[in-house]
Amino acid sequence: MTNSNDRDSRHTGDPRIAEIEQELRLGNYLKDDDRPLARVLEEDADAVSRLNMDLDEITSRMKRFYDLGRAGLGDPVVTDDDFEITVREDRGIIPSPWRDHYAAPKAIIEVTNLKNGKTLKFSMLGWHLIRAHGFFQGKGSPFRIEPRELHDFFEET
Amino acid sequence: MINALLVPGLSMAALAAVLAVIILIAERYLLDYGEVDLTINDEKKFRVKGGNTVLSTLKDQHIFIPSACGGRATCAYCKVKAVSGFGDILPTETPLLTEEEIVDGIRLSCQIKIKNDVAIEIPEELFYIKEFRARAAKIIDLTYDIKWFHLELIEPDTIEFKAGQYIQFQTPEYGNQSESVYRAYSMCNVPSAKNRIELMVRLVPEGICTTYLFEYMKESDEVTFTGPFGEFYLRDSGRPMICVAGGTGMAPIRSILRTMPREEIEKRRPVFFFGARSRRDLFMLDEWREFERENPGFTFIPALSRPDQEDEWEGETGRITEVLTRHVDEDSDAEAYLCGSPGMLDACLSVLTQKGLPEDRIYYDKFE
Repeated sequence: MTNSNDRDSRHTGDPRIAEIEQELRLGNYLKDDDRPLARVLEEDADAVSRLNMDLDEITSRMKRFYDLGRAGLGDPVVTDDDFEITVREDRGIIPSPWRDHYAAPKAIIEVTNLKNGKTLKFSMLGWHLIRAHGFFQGKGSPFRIEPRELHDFFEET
Repeated sequence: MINALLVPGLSMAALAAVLAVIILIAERYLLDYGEVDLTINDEKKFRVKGGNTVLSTLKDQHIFIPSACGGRATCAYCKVKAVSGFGDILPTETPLLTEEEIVDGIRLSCQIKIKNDVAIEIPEELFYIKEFRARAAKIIDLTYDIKWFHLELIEPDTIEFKAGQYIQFQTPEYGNQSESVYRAYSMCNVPSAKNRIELMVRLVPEGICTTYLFEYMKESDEVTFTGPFGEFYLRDSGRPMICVAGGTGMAPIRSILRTMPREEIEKRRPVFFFGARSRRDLFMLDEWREFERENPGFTFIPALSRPDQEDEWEGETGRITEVLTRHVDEDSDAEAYLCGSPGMLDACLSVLTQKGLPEDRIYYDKFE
């Protein structure tokens, strides 16, 4: 298993980082974030570390939401542990901009914790980028999730 | 020693990146492979400039291999059989090839380069795929998030396709989007209207292509697409038909059903199950009711999974899988045509196979 620190050191030292950054900017994954990709990764990795987040555990729970929510075929599904999950899926795939040969399903997942009303929204491509690269996307990107937001959502569950 | 040569502050990673760029530039501008022979299917020979990928070289010869990722070795649509003249499998290919494919010489055409005389094999139907320029003739709202696009062909001015097939629409650069991408959409019109194609598209939140189609493309704008592609089309089996779709999955089913002669509809008695969430997600109801009146033997069953109270819906309710469970007979001798989200396809496949339909009589296109 990869922990968040491994993710950070691996990718900020990746010789392809400039190429990946260009790809991410082309695809609007950094949106208006002017920081170099290495800094985006470092700062989010610092936040993950400060919050003592286990990204492997968190991303596997996100994947579970996707797997459970798919059964609703677009309608909300309520789980035994009081989460309401809606998965919107479209035909086709989205190639990962990280040039890592991953093709994400076109799926957007919205989860509400029915106990406290907190919500989480993520795409399956976003999930992959966090899980595999510790990349939460740039500030202003439509699918950026702040590490703090992710932490708070899962902390109270 | 190496460190002594480094500019202070330049890391090994940065050095590796610089070297990679130098190699790329050298390969592009200094290495000249000259003209080489590209032989396809042992019968067509082209004299081409060496040094480019098979995918781009074929495109220059107006042979269009499906590709959805722009040559990033991600979608794995662009597989060809390398017969001779290529080197070993590249690290960028291995994650996307099975062991059998590697043994059979299958390669990703976006990754392998032509550096000497080479021979490949591709499916014969790929020779019929063309790049089209078209004009957006009409854009019609079907629901709050689904539009119906009519594209009139400019060059070539006619297209041959089988009902059920799809094209790959090329999104141009627009707004802040500086990357051109391809996305697949099925034709919803009948193939006999050779001078145009019609597409049904649902807006994907933040989707690159659908944002262009919904917010930037205007009537009379010129667009580009390649096609036709796909193995989803009517089988000439004479069997009864079960058609299932959700949302824009209606497109290829509409094309297939409207292409069938009246007598064949009467004989094969197609039943079209169309799933939507509430009344506002349903569209073309009048058209299907009319089609039902005109074609004895055809049945249209729209179903709402969560009808609103104000919908006053008296039709079928429940998820489309529940509706199928209620209507499809055990061990039916029908064949099924499915089109919708991957989740819907998986769920319907499960219901139909449990009902005794063999998988080889269930047709669908996942666009994966």
